Amino acid sequence: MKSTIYPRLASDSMKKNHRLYVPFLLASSGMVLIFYILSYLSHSPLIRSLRGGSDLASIMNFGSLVLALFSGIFLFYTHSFLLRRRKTEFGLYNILGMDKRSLAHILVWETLIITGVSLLLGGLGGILLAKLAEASLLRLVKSDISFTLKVDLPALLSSGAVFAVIFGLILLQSLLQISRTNPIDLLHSQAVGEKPPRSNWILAVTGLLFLGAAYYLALSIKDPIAALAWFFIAVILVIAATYLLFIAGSVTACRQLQKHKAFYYQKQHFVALSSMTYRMKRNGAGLASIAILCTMVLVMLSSTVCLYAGTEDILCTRYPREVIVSASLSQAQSANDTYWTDLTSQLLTASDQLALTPENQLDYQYVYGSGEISGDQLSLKKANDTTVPTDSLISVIILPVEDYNQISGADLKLESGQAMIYTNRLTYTAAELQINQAVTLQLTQRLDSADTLKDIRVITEASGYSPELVLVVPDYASLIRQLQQSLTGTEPADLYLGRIMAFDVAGSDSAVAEKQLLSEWQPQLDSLVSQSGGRLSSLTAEAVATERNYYYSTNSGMLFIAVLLALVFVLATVLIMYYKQMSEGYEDQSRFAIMQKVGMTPQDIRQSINAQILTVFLLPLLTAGLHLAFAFPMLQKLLLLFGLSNRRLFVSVTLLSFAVFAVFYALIYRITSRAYYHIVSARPQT
Amino acid sequence: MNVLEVRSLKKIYSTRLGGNQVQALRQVAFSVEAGEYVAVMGESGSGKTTLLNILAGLDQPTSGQVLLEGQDLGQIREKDLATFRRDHLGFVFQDFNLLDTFTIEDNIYLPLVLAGKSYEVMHSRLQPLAQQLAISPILSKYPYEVSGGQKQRAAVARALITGPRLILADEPTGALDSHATDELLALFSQINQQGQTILMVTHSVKAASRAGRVLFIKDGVIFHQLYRGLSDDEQFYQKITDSLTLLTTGEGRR
Ligand SMILES: Nc1ncnc2c1ncn2[C@@H]1O[C@H](COP(=O)(O)OP(=O)(O)O)[C@@H](O)[C@H]1O
Ligand SMILES: [Mg+2]
Repeated sequence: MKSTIYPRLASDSMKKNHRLYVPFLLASSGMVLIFYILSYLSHSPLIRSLRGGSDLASIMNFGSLVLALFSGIFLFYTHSFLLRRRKTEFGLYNILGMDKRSLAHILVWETLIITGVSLLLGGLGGILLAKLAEASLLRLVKSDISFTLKVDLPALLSSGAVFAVIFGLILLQSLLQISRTNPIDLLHSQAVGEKPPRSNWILAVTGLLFLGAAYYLALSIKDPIAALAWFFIAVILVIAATYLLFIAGSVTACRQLQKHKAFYYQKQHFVALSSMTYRMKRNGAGLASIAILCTMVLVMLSSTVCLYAGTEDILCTRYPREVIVSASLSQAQSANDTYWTDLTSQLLTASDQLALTPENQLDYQYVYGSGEISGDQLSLKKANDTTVPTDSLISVIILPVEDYNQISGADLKLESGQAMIYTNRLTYTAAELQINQAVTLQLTQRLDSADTLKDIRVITEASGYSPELVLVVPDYASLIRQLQQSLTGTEPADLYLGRIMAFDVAGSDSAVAEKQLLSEWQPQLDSLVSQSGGRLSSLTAEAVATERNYYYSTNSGMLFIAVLLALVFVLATVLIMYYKQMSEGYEDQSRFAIMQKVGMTPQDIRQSINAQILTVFLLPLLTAGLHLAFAFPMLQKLLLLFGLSNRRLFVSVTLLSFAVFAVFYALIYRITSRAYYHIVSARPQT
Repeated sequence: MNVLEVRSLKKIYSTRLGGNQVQALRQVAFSVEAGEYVAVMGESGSGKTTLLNILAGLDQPTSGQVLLEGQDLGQIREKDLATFRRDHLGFVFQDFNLLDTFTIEDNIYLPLVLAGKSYEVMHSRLQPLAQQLAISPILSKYPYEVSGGQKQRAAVARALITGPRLILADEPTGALDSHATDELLALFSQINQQGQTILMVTHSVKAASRAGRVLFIKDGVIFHQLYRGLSDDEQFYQKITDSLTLLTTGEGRR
């Protein structure tokens, strides 16, 4: 045979099977496109020039790795579907005298065409859209840099390389499959007498148990970081359970219903239930994949959208004022000690020079430590003390009463030995608290209502998700000294003594001035520490204006990646769904022709199809919703780690994501089911 | 009254591109009386399946009329056609047309379930039928687990269970070995003797020779018919082959 015949045969048969190949090509081009964009962004000099830009770049880099891995798995999976439908054709070629070597040639050409088209379309699209992506990323970051279009060769090359490898592997697998089967099998590979699906109680029950265990873990893990291993086990259990339940559980349930004669032998149930059983057997894996992809999309979108939308919130909790000077002290300072006020007024002269007006000034000192409560005993520990399991550790914060009054504007009076207590994520009811068996405090006042919370929020809520216990005490300096002495044997660094001076700058557009102030201060800070005579161990100044960029660039980077990955996952969902509909269409075509002959009206058929399609449509979506609901507490804890504690925001963002996704999903389903109806309603050839 | 009456039926298939036209049925007219067993015989491509599909209302004739129990099929609305078909006709096909997602039993129940009958009714109707067709042992099996002969008997059971006025069979022995063919033909004779009207299309002389009357179809025209009269199966077989030779050689001479 002449060698030009292979590319012809390959392209002809791809044209003939365009209903199968066009979606595949579009999906693979889409993946190339997104991969190109990600790798473009990961070394875009514009992005790198931002504050937090290198973090952003590495987020993009990580995203492109995940994408490459996912694309590989996904393209493999869908290509095997293509191959299955093509085997009959290959069997025919083989019987007509084309040897396997020639078939291999055709496959090679086919792969070359697929690779070429995907890279070309994806690359071109990527080049065009990369700038748009960069622009929207910069917008998200709230940067106002302008830019021009350009082609990024390294990104292009790496996209080419990654996808060439993926398609190479796919080709290898196809060749292996073709070489292993004989022609008769090839010819009949679509029509093997399929065994009826059987109930599999063991797998179904295992699936249920896994799901229960995973949900239990999700609800009971207190600290996802400390319990990272369990966290991953929960994720794996959920995935395994989803597959088991979709593949075995669904069939078992259908079988069980079929045993119910009065239910089964009804016009509406009879055909639907029996084909459902087969459908689930064949497509259980596909549906489970869709459910898992949907869950991933939802988790990624809701958490990153929330993080992005909550950035101001996070900044607000982390940085209660626009400019913050924080010091680490070696000794607690008593109320009449003027060292700190002198120091801060010295710093504030700089702001006078810049004509800045400080307002909402805040000045307080505090002690931060971690400890463990048993009964009315609080023992302060080293934070990284390995003998204490992390999830029983609480954060302890102690404030002087004068500073508390000044922050909150309250007029709290406490006698020596008394204290006011405020707790967050833990309950403490005893009337007394003994700390390290050295200090005993009478808890005469309690702060627990939400409206007073914001007074003290300034100080707390920054420490993540661990429970907090806040004490407001008189005689602060001497009490702290006592506590420090009780910690003999361990290093005094276990208690962090901090002092904060913070203020807002008048005027809404003060970001530039604040940055200027910081650069004025920067050289002074170190010398102030060295001149402090050991009173200060560090002194730092921060301005929200500079931190804001940083926060926005990481949070928007994550949002951006999530959106792109969600796009890819949605693409994958579309394709899996499309192929599922196609294969079901072909299978149902002859079946419905028979049913019509034995007296099923077209309405009956349509009704039965709709019932099945709706079930198959809703199952993955509902599963994803359920997974999301159970993952919610865990996700919330993870978001706390990022400093986001706005529960209402998270709930509404999650619900919104679900709603938007459901609409989108319904749209996909409508479009793909058109392919199905198209096939089913075509007259089978006789 | 005639169970079936076919009046000057014509069917032209035009290919999708509109180019070629195939005249599958030119001029077909005949009638079938209640209790008759009629075979329509012709070679492959002579228009048998086309005829049967039109009789079943699965396909529309280009012109002509089909009256089933005096009812003009062309007058029945599309959406009532399926119900009409289910209640009045039974089908047996060459390739069985059993659904692989159902057990043999459920396949047989299918038309009754569609008609909204309860399980008890269906079950009690099936028992005598299964006995007669010798399929009781395979009722719980799936189509892929049983032989061709058994599948075809199950298909016959499915056709009979609604108590149809007319059984339409399209090459019912076409996919069967000779033993299963003999069994099935015996079965058809038996149910015909019980009063069931049967119209069978076939290209096999053997199958046709079991009928009470044979219509010969060629190129979409019924050009001859033979009555069994008093002859037994072998004699009728002989008569059919004789006619066939006569007709073909006669044609050759022309
Ligand atoms: N759907 C169709 N479209 C076009 N031509 C058809 C179609 N079905 C059958 N024919 C043609 O009509 C003629 C009769 O076919 P058919 O009724 O199947 O014959 P038989 O069943 O006797 O073998 C044949 O020439 C066949 O090619
Ligand atoms: Mg035929």
